Amino acid sequence: MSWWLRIRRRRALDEDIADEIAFHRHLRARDHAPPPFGNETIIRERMRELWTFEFIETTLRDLGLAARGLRRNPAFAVTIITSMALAIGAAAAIFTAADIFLLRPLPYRDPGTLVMLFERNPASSQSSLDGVSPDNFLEWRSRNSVFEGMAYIDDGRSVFSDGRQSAELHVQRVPPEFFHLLGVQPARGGLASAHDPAGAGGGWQSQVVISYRLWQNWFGGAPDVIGRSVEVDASAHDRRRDAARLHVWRPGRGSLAVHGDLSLRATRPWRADDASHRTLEARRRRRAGASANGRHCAAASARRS
Amino acid sequence: MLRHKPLMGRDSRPNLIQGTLDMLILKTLTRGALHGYSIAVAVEARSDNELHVEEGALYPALHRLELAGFLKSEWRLSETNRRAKFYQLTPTGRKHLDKEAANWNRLAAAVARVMEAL
Repeated sequence: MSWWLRIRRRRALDEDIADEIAFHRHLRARDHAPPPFGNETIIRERMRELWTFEFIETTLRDLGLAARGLRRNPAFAVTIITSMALAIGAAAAIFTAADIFLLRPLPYRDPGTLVMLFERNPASSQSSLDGVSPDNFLEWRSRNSVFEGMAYIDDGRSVFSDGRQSAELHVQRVPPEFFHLLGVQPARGGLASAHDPAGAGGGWQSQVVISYRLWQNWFGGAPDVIGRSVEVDASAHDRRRDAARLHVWRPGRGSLAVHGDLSLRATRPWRADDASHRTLEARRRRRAGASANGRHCAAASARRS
Repeated sequence: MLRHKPLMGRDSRPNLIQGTLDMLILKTLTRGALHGYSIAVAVEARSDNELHVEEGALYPALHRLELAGFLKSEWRLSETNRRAKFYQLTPTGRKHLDKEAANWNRLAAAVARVMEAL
């Protein structure tokens, strides 16, 4: 009989044992023998344990044997445990990455029409995808006829300070078109429009969008964080305090996926006279009708209407 | 049927050697299905009342043998028209008995030879 059946039958077994002993007493009384069973309860318990605890003892014995085996050979035990930990961890990590990159759609408006643009140097033997130089980006944008719009991400690190503490954080500078092209808005706070002159509201250039994690870790999730002033890159060269209004970015569906302590800094759009050789990545959104894919056309025209 | 005289103090009859009770139960059941009480009575009768089967040992032993697959049990009406649990030898139990009996005979003969020699 299997052990779970034994457990289910436990009540019935108790009754059976009691009946069996009662029958024995009944016959002894009939034969005028003295009452048996010095301690009936103990005997009943012994018999019940025989049935119900056998599997527990077997399991415990097996576990004990395994534990002793592992203790006797620690190197083996460490190898086994490490292998299992690594395997489980790797499987979980791989699935997490596959889930984000392969299974879930990008959390932007019409993710199918989003493309990433790179530069490539045909003279170079390496066919690597390089960042786009500012001059090229501006040239592409002025001649653009296939994309609905283009924006770039200027990636780097900046010193972030709220007056009390400072830290170097990962910062990405983006032009005004960026949020419009992705079709996302901050979870808290409203971005000033690009055409808003740098005035009362501070204008486009004085806005900072922080990640949800930074909001939680740095500001303790304070609800009044919107509109607070912080300094970004108040370097020795630039004594001018660059006060910026804060916006909070929450990760998840329908919002920009901002990881870690990343903060997004709205910046003055690149101009042709910027003597900068920094690379930047350009993001373009395909213009409606330019795509060979009919589905994209439908999606784009639906967006336009 | 046997009647036990109340004894002063401990029972003077020899205790069963550990492990022989199982063999005696199996042997008794070769004649057919019996309930616990008649097994005890049969063992005592066949040993000319030399052996006394403790009930506290008998029933746990019966259940242990059943768990080991040497016995199977069935609830039936007894001779007194009461529900009783009857035990029956299984083929595995019979094989086990043969082995145990052979061991026992060898052991008993060896002990007897030693005792005669001295």
